Amino acid sequence: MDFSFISDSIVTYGVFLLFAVVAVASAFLVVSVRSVMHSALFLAVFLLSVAAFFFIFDADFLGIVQILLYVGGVIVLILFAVMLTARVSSSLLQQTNEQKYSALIVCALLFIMLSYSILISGLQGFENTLLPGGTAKSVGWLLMTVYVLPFEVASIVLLAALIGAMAIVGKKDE
Amino acid sequence: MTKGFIPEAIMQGLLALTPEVFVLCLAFFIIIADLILPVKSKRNILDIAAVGLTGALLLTIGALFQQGMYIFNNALVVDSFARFFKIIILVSAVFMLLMSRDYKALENNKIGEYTALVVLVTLGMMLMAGASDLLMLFLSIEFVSIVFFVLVGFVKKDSKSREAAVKYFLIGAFSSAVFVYGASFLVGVTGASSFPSIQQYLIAHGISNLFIVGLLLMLVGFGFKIALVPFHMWAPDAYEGAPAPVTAFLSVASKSAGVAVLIRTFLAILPDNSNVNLILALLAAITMTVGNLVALTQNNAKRLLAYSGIAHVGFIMMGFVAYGLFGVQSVLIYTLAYLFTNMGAFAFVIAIYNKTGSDDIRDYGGLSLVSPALAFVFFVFLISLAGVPPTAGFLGKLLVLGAAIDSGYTWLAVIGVLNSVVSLYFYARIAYFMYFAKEKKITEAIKPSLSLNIIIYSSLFMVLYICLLPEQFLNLAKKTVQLLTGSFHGY
Repeated sequence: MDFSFISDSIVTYGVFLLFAVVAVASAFLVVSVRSVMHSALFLAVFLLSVAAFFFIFDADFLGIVQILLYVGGVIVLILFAVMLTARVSSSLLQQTNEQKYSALIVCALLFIMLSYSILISGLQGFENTLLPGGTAKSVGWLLMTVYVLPFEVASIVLLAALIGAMAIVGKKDE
Repeated sequence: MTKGFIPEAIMQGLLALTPEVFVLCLAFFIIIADLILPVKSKRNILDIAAVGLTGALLLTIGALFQQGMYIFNNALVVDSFARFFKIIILVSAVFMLLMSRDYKALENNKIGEYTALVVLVTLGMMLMAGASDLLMLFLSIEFVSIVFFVLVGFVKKDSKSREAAVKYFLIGAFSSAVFVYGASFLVGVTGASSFPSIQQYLIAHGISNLFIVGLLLMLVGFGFKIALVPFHMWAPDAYEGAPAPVTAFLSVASKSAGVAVLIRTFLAILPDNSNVNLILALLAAITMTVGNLVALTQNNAKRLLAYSGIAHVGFIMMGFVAYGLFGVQSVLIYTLAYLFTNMGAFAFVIAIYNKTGSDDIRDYGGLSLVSPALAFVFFVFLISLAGVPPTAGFLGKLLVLGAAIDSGYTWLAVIGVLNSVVSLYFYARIAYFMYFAKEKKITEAIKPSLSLNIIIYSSLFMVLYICLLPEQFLNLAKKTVQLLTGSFHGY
């Protein structure tokens, strides 16, 4: 099997494998442990290992953003929400329902299909180019030139979400 | 050319996007108007928005047949195909704002936010119709979904509306995840995110298995957005719970935008659809059948129209499965017919709701006695939904069936015809209650307001006009498809 699309260096490959195992294991724990709090913490571990992937593949900017946004922002938000939930410590909390077996079959099929097609076709679209001086500069340049429209549209999406949030929670007096 | 602060390419892109920029400015204007106007006259904001969107509509119609081009580094394509769908979206947005004016369940003090969201979601759908980059595609689809989550749950006092919003939100978020997962494989395989670059890669390297898998996952995402069976579970609840104008908007505009991106994506990045064609054909057949069979037993008018809308998506997919020039043309005509027919039917549902406070079709009894003219017009919309001549729905159905037979999908066409027969039953059931029900629930004449009358009669005009004088609409569709930019076939 050809894994050259992951990395040529044996050390990088080893570190990648280590974090891959951590990521898959913690992702599995997120959906299988019974306490919501533990789920949230395992999610943090998973997101951190994804950040590690970014660092391994020289995408330092993405790695930092991943830590800042997901671990720093999203996870904290989730933890707050979990702490405000009443049934946090209840051990009766179930993560699955009666459809778990059919879901398992679908997931297994999807997994087989995906791994089969990844192994036979591989992901060769990208060239391995190391950007000088990290990726932050190139990302910034791309955002303001090639991706300027998506960048601006994203800000309009945020505006819409803001108005929407006000419409949902806001109370206006007559 | 002078060398200004804004690079020329961006300036050119913005010029090509004049209608979109206009709609965005309108949204800002509405937010400001909401701050200034007193609560009593807040309903006027809806009029301002309707007039503004009509302006954008005229801008788009004026530029309909301009040469298509890619702008913003292939993020968007502006061609007649995109403009055609923008016209459909803008017309339904204007109709929707007019409907909202008299919709009782909307509170005066929330009108500002409501209108701003409607205008912004219109902008999102216009971007969706032209998206030609996976990033832009995802962003615009998310834009539209996020705003619709809020609009579906806008009437907070109604627990059904809240429940609908939560269901729609959960399933919408899930489908977005599946969509972006699929898109990530496409990017991984080809190393590109814009459709022209993906095309170039495929011409050079051919299609790999992983590419097809990614495309199928994306199809699941699209399927959720346009309510294809088996990804349709959210639609009936969301349609029933949402305020009726939002339901009309969701079922026409959001669906058309979804169909537009679906067709654009497949035409642009799949050289021929033989690999996935059978899957699409099966989905179309299941969608039609399930939509129609479940609609048979519905008593809530909004829910019934939701299931009938699912069935109509099946028909649209049937035209798409045909894939060729004729297939896409038939889809355009069908969507146009569906726009006016469905909007007209929803205007009636709202007019009757405003009078009786009920969406149950069993409460429509006696309508033909107190306002016979209106009942007849409603009847015309119903037979157009069922696809009976001389209405637009008939022409649309005829064309998609023809396209399917033309490309060798006779079995699909047969299923389509059988479904038309089934659908006739539940549309006729509404007519039965209006004309023959023993219990006369409606005892006073229904007088739709001016804005509802505008919708009803202009839709009626278009529904008859499209079928009786179809030539110019067929030419319009033909020319639109010929000017479709970026298709793999180049036709």
